Amino acid sequence: MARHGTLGEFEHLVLLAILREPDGMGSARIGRELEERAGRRVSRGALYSALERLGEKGYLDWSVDATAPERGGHPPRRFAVTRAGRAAVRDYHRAVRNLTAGADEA
Amino acid sequence: MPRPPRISRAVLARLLGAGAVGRSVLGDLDEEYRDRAVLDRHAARRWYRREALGVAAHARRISRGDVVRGRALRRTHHGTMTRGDSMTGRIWQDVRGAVRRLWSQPRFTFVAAVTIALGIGAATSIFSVVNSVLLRPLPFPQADRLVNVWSHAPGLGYDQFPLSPDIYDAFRRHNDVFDAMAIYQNRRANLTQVETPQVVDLARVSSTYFPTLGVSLARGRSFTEAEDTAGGPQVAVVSHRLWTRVLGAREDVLGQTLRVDGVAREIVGVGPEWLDIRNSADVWVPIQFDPAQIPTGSFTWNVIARLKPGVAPDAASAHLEPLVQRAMEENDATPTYRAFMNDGRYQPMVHDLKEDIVGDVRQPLWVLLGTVGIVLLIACANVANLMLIRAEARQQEIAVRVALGSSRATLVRQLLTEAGVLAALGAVLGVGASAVLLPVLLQLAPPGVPRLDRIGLEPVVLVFAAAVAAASALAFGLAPAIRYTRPSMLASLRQGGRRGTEGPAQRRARQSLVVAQTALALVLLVGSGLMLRSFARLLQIDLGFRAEDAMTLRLALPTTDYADGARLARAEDDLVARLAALPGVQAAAAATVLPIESGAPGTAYEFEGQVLAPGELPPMVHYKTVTAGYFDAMRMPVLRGRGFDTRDLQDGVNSVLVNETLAAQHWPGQDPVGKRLRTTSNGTPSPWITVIGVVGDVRQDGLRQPVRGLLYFPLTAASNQPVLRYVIRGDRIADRMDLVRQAVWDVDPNLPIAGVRSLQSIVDDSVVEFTFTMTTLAVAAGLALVLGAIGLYGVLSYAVSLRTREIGVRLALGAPPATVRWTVLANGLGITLVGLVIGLAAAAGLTRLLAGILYDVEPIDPLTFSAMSVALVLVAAVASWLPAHRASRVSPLESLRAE
Repeated sequence: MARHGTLGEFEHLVLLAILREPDGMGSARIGRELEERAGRRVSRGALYSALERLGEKGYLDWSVDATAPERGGHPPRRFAVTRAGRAAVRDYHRAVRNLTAGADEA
Repeated sequence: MPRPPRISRAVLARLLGAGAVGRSVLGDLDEEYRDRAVLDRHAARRWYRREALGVAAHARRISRGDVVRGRALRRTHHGTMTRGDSMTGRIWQDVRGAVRRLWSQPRFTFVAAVTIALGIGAATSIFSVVNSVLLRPLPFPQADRLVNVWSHAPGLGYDQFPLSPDIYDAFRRHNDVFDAMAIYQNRRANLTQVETPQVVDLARVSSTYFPTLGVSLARGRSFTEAEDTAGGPQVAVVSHRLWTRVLGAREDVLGQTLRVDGVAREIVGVGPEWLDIRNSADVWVPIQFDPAQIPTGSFTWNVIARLKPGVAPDAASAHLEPLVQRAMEENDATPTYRAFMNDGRYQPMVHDLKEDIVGDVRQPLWVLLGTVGIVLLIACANVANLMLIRAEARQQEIAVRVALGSSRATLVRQLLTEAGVLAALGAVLGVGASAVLLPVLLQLAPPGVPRLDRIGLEPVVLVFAAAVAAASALAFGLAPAIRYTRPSMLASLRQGGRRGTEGPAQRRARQSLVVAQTALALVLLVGSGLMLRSFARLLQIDLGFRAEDAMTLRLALPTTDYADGARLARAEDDLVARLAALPGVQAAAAATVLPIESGAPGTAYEFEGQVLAPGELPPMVHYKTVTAGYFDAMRMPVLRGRGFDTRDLQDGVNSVLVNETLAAQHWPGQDPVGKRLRTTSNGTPSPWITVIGVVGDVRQDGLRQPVRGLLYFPLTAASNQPVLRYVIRGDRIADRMDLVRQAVWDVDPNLPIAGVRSLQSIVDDSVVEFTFTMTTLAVAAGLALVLGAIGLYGVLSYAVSLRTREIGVRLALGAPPATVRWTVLANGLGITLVGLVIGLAAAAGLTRLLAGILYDVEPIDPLTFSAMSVALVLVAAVASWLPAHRASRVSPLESLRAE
């Protein structure tokens, strides 16, 4: 049972960044994507916190990346968006589309 | 390879925990730091610190990632049992976790495990002795039904003495309480026509002896009734020990001839190996009483019996009592014998056999077990204290885990598992040490302790060690587990978070542990102090003779070769003369019994001019027979009159020397020289014996026994004493025993020499049981004192370390260091004083258990109690002074930095 909740703006950006890679990505790459494409400078604390929040909501899943180079017992995690996460992003976009359609007419 | 700022990284690692999430975040930051450091090291460090701060702010949420994920994983494995859920799996996980945590703190683990090992090792060692000596049944089938039958004559002042064959015979024929009975007598016998002539322990036994004990022989058979009748064949059963060591373990041993005291006997059986214990017989021979002439009034025989099922020893005693009268009537006993029985209020006493064997060592052994129990308790208190301090250091971790949803039960279980792992480690170390040290301990044990032969780490001992370990794990693990997972405690932790001061409850918990340790240590200190004072008293006892520089040996001249008394006495005088003539020998003499080693026999005497009241029995007086030079060789003073010389050896002269006590008893204020006395045993009075002198008192019956009246008779042709103890005095005589042996063999090359030992060792052995108990108690007390001091030191050091900041501020504000020092010192001494008061009360109650062991010291001896209290306070002062001194040297600057 995935836990549903609202999707914050920053969380939305994080999910979108991760969705750019079908196999998911590591946290360093997520930070870079946000910085380069969204023009956001993100502190590590805020990023990790958002990642865990998304995990708690069931939108993200992670696994320990065994293929990564050895980091002295500190292997990186690889994050991937869950089906619920994709659905949440789709719902968000549909809502934005629906709402912006009305705004265009106005 | 550049490393990120150490402190920041350590703080972060601590906050994030060791889960996959925490480790990956740390790794991410490390990686990025390295990339940045290549460009600009300083900028990278600044970056790391800033990011670390940001992550730390969210640390709680981030480190929840593992828990969240764990839940998610369990959801996906819905319905299936994972390893973490099964009971054994969870225990295994707990154990692995505990081992990991203990491994990461090697110093704590080492100290705690060694402390526990000390306690468990000591307890296990003493328990294996208690088990073998006291708890394990005797090795006979249905041994609980085996009893000794003794005599008891309160009217004569005799508590317990052996039985007479005529009484035994009446009991055997008429009793309804025994399934079987046997009579026997131990003595020494010369074994000749073997490689080296030797003295062996021999038992004359009735044919019922082995069947009563339930012993079946390893080879051959026991005695038949025909062999146990007067005029029967000369046969013998030998021990397994004798068979292997002397008879070469020959297969054809049955039917061989053994020469015992000059009599050729056919070997008909060999005893089982397990029957061989210290001082057990090596040769058994049938008694061969003549049924028509069973000895009467000869109370020198031991009787064993097997009770019928369900009969208690006391009931058996009551049942036997009327049979004594019946024996008198059936045997037509003499009036003297009847008078002896009536006036002595003679009663048979039935005692449990095992109780008779272990009765003397029961009390010291239980005292020792109690002692090591106390050491174990103190060790547990110490470890409990360490655990409490450690748990406090872990409060944040525990709080986080509770916040993360760990249930209290889980935490208690984990903390207890840690205690259990520690206890198990301590038990393994302790049992290992015990296996190594037990043989050493047994070497120190007094020779009188029975059944020490087959002590080992038996299964029951291991079970005991495991039980003790489990109990101690609960003792030192439960308190911290409950205290530090209490919800109220956690709430306050969440608010406070930081550890700064300790709450009153925590301080009280630790202080009361130290109070308990102090009290227990004082109990042991007082106990060993009392023993030490007793020992000092024992050493001060005036033996009455000089024990140094003298050797003793025993010779038994075979009556087959020296049949006539005159020849025997001549041979013995010749032996003494030859020994005295050896170079370096100052004096030599012989006596029937030596002081302390064995008591002297006694008989009834009539003192000239002393009229007995009607019905009053003549007094029983003890006596021994000595050669003329005895008092010189023993260095005993002749106080009045003279010692023996050739005048006393003439026919028709009857001389005797008396000791001071006897002189004071019978001729108070008079000169005993010239007084006369005679035996009256068999109705017809013997000739008068004249007192020719008085000698000093000697502790004949043992160091701790009071001196009794004693008569010294000269060895004459009429003495007829083939077995004598010889004393040879000279400087370093122990090194010249080869000369002594040669001198003996010059007289008779077939003469076995037995019991070669120094006179001093006889004295020492008489107190060895006492010194053993005392040494063990003293070692335990020392251990307790050290452990207690460590406990006190630990508590005060910890309190000081918690108050470093406060102390620093005080010092900065101008508080004199002496005041700070005194505050800590007073804290330590206050704890000690509370423990002291409790300990004194406990000691006053417990030292009563030592009453039977102590000599000439009251169990509540004010001097010992106060001296040991002072010693305890001094040690406590030293233990408190170190942390106090450190506190007074706290630098205000450092103390602020410490936060």
